[in-house]
Amino acid sequence: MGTPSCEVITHKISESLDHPLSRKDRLMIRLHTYSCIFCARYRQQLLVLHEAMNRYAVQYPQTEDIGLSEETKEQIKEKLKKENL
Amino acid sequence: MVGSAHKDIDRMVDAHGDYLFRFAMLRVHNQTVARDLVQDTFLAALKSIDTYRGASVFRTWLTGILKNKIIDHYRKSARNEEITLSDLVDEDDRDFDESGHWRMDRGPMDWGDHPEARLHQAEFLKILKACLDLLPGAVATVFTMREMDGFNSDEIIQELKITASNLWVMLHRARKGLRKCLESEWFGAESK
Repeated sequence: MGTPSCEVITHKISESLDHPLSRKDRLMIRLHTYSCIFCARYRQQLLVLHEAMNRYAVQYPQTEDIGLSEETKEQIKEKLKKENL
Repeated sequence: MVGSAHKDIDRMVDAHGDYLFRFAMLRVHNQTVARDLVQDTFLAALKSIDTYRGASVFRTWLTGILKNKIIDHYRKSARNEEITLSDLVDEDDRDFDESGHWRMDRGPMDWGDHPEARLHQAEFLKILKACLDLLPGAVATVFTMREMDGFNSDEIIQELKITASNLWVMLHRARKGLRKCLESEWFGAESK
């Protein structure tokens, strides 16, 4: 078995976040990241990204400065009243 | 009667419009689409108001309707856009050398000991949003479904009618692009 490249490993690291990998793939990632600082960082950083997305999903809907304009709200109200007759 | 129904409509839009709009914007990244989804949600809510039992908070009930509208939108856009080759191939990939190993000057940088401690900063969320906006349409859609709506891979494959390997490639591409964008705009920006 040839040594897998970083390109392959980064792909597998991403996949490991979406479905269970085979034992062989898991071992391959572990061995590779043991000796490759870049891929080890890559793995860590994808986990940080995952955490960031979770926070973003919670915090964004609470952000006060994004919303519908008053004009848009009025248009929606008009439309609803018309349809609701 | 009509007067009170009209007041209820005004109140509903004023109380929940902004929240629903942000919920949609976070997922579809397009103001016009998000606005229409919110309007459709209110319309559907009015039609089925009799089925609202008051068991859940009204906003939660509305959000449930909006979620279904968003999934319909995902499906439609996946059908319309098709998954193009450019969503799958990263043409501008010079991070790796010919043998597929990181180029020394392009490998991931050190993000410090506790990068997660800086995630709650308001400025960070703006940067993350800007980075998300750079992703190609279909790539952004599958990544949002996976990471924000918590769909598992099988569900996305079924909803969007794509193959598993296309899904892995697109998710990989999303993460790779976002990681890099966050590094250049946020985590790496300070240590330079």
